[in-house]
Amino acid sequence: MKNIVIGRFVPGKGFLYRMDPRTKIISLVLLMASAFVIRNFTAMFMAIGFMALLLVAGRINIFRVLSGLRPLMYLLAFTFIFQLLFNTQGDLVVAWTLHYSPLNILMVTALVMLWFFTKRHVKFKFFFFLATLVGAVALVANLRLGPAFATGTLDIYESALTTGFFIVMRLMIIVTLSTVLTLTTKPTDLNLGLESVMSPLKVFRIRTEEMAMIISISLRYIPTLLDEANKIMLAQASRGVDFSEGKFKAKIMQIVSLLVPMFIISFKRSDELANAMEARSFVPGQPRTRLHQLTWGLADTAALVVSLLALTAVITTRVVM
Amino acid sequence: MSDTTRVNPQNERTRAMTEIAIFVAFAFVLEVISKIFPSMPQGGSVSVSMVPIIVLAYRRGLLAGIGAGLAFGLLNAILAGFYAVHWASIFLDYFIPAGVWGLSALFFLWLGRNKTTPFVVSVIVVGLLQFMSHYASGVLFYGEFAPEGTPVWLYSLTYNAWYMVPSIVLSAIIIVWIWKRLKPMLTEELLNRNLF
Repeated sequence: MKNIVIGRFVPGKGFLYRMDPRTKIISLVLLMASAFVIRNFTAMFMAIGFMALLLVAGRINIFRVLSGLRPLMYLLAFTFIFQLLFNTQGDLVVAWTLHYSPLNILMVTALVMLWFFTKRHVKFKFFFFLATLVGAVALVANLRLGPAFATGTLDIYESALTTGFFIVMRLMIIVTLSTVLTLTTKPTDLNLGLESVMSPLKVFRIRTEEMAMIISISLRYIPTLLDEANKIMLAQASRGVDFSEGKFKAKIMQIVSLLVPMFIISFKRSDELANAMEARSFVPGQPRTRLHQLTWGLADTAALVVSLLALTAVITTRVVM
Repeated sequence: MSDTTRVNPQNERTRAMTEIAIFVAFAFVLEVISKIFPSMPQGGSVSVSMVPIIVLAYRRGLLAGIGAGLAFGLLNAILAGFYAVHWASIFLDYFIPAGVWGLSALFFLWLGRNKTTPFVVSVIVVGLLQFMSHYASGVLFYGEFAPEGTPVWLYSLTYNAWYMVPSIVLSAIIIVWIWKRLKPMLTEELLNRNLF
């Protein structure tokens, strides 16, 4: 429970922290759109350079961004490998013959065993896993130990490499962008920005300020309710319920035992909160004053112009080339 | 507590707002806790977070339910590891699946409010709608992840059914299970008075 990061805001310095949340949201949308549009290599490398520049200039800890990418790593590797194996368009780039001989298989098994027993001591597990995989393939392809009882081929085509590269890079750019947004913006600021960005919807008689209010209350109460859930779990653990182990049915029972108290707590909390708000003369839909006002600076205009330029540049290169 | 607090429509609106907000947070907490079940490699896990939103739709009606679902989708996208391969997949994977939970209010209108049947029906129907949204997203945008030889629709169907079917069954079982404890909380007269 403890290692679940909520909001992932990390206090820090740098221009991204001082920027208006509205700018950051709009720029995020523009840059994401550009990432989806990119189809050629020069533009992709420039986009990667731009991301690197953004991370360096914004003084963002690269390891935090990487930890945001971590859940995606296996998916990305999986996609890339699938592309390599099954995409057969374009020129042939690599054509290896794989030798399946008893000794080779033994070597691969040894490698896998080595990976299995040392993986818990290695810091970058994912790269270790990839290195093992590549190592195993290279072993089978290049070493010819003894007579092979079967041979296979490993053909990699040009289109597989390029398509895989684009899919992986696009996903990485998008996730990095959204990680940068949540890293540098407090959830409350994010919510203010969202409210402001959504305000044109008022034309359709959608009550944006109430929606923003609801979202900010939710954001505020998620840690509180998580805490309460934790307390209930501890209370039940002290009575002998085991939350970390158990089969599927046991886990269902745990959820059930958690739900009823959580319902009571939620009703109670919302009632208390409504009372507190009414006591302070909160009237839904009426204009309210704010403690923190959003301010629009020169940096915000510059950021917007840059991201608009990026989008137009990407679109023109796609249309022209 | 006196009964005068319930008269003013403005107050009722504030009450609805706080209830939506807290129940969205509740649903999100359930989503986090549901991580004790094994989750899928490309997102999606067995979870019972639709239960609070359906209860909210029971108490506060269609619009509140849909609004709460959309808010939940937004929080889920912001807080719980976001990824998308296409701009439309953001809607099909985050907003629509949670937004349809609010439609359960219709079943309480049609099937009555005093039994568990409308709850079970609405869990199954909104669960299937959520499944269809994930399924459409899988067919449209995640085709490149499908193993060679498998049609995309079959891949998306099995992938999403793998966590959605347990979610639906689990939510239905849980609602029936806790109904006896839940019912006194759902009626206005008893709420927040005699219970605590």
